[in-house]
Amino acid sequence: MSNTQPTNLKESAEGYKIETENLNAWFGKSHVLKEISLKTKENAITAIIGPSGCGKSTFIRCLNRMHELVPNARVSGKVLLDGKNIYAEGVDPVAVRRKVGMVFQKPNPFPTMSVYDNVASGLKLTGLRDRKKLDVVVKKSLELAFLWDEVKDDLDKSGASLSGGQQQRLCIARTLAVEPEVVLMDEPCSALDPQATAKIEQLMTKLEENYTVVIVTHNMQQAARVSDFTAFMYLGEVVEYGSTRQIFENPKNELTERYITGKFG
Amino acid sequence: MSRLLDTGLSELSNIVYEMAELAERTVDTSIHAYLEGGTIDIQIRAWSDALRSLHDSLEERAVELIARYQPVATDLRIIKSSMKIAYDLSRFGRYALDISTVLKILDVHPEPANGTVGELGKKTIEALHVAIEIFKNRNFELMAKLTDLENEIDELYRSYLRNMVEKPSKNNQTLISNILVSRHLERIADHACYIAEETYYMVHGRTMYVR
Repeated sequence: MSNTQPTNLKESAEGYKIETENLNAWFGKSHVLKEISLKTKENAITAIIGPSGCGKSTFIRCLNRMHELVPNARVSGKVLLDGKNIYAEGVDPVAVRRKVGMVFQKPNPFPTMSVYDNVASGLKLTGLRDRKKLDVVVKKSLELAFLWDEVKDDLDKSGASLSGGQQQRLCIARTLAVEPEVVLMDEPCSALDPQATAKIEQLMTKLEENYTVVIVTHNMQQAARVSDFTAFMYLGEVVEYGSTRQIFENPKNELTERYITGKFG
Repeated sequence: MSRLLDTGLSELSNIVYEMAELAERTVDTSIHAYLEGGTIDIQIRAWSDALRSLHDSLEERAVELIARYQPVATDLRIIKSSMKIAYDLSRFGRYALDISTVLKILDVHPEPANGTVGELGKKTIEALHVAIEIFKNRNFELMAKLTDLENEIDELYRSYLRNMVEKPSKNNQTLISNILVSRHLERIADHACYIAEETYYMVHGRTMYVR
């Protein structure tokens, strides 16, 4: 049932950043992802949509080896990042997560750290202590996250003192600071108001110039607004994958049509 | 369980069906009156106004549905196509009105129109009926028939114009009224094709041209 690549693409088959091959995932005995073979385009936004429990969050957690952090969780198959399997023997999961960053549903800045330290934390963990270099990265990351102008005079304030939308952009800045190549976003706007959501969506479209973005969202209008490609998942499988325009204008699969038009269930 | 959007979609559909019946009647009556040498402009004006007003209410409702429900896939196509088809149907009213008033404007005594204009009129009515049948019953097998009719109408229109240049009529008023009416008929046939094409897109999500 899983498609190997999006249909109706103008682009050539080249330029895929992350490819999964027969990806399966389990929580204990529960088989939650089934034989997923999906190619995500470089410098593009791919949205994963589907009903609760369909496996979309698990899917993106497999893309940076976070799934295995859950007790009794298991993965089989391949996830190729630039053609190299991140599950191959000897690959350091921490190095993978540095290349493939993640932003979560609920903004989770380190509450005891300042705005500055939140952004610098990843780099400090890698041993960077040079204040001038850190200053440059912190400013650049906050600018990329459209947050610099709002916090430049309050860098010493606690990250937790910011508004929800600012906290989420702080988390995005923290993710960008370690210079990932892929940014995974798991429902990044579900806890935000429309204005904060609009800022994050604007940010996403800016990010795709230099990053590959994969976003899980329950909000189909958000998928339609920001993504270039959309995959619809159901019961652990990819039912349909195509350009966002094709999926939302003329889905090929009846199940996709029923889900996106709200006729599901 | 029906969705909130479904009520709105069925309202749009009802308006378009009502327009289709009225447009068919309006064009039919207007062309027959011209071909048979009668005038019926007051009735046609009332129907044409009604078509325009139905088109306006459909557009208002469609915009409201888009704003409220952000429809996608088939829902979106139904709304988009309903707006387009309603526009084409309202144009039928306008052309029918133009045909029914042409004699009055030119102060020509109505008389039966035979020959090419008569033929054009009959084929245009047939094209309109075929298009409405495609729309009402999603009968896409008729697309080929409509294509043939459209080609025949275009050819008749062009040959009529060529003929008028080569052998102009001695009666200028009749000549002008026939040329104007044949132009309106040709445009009606074009809009009939647009309706069939839009219906095809609404159902299949891709375009098929009837030209």
